[in-house]
Amino acid sequence: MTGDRPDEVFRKFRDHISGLLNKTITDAPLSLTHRKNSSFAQFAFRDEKEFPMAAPLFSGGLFLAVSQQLRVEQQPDKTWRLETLDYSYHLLEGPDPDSRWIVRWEYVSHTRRRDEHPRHHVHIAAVVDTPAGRLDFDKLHLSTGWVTVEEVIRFLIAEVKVSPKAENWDQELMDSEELFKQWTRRNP
Amino acid sequence: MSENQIRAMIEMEAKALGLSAEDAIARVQKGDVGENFLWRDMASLIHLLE
Repeated sequence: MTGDRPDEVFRKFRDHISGLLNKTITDAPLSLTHRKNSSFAQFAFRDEKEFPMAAPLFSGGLFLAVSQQLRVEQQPDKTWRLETLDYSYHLLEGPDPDSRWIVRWEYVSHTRRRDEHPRHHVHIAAVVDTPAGRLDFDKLHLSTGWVTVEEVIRFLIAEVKVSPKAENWDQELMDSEELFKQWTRRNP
Repeated sequence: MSENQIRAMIEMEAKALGLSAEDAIARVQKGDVGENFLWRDMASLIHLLE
């Protein structure tokens, strides 16, 4: 995604992701935090005191915390191009950071962290005993590809049985994936 | 949003974790952070000040 000014690019992307979440699984809006004149920003769900929270989903008693760290870089044509440096999608049993979590999809760019676990990974609240020993999946960083917010929403509706707000939820997700493809020039 | 407003958010989140803003920043810079989304949020706010 590109735009003429950093704040315009950040706002357009936040509005898109927030709108998609609001058309499908939750009414909570994403809050954008952008330091004036900076090329960095982030968005997350926040309460009325600006404290981060997990948003209630439309059914099932589950909550989702969503955040992304964003950066823009100026291109030769003077437009600003968006990049995600970090994302996290945490599925929890409550709205607070201390609530018991179930799944955590996470990504940290190599520009932030090096020489450690897979950049794109998932944590699952499960421990499995194997002949090779105990695998503690809440601590291990299970490799994934780039996990889009669309695929998280699809998982929650199709498999966790969160009630979708719109009957055409899958079309909404496919339309958003098509936009993502155009913005990033890659297949989701 | 101004730098002071972001610092106030960091202080609020650090306090919820039982830390001063300075201690929280030092831990984020060392990569010594917790797993919950409050830690991740605070770390991303700290990066906004870089």
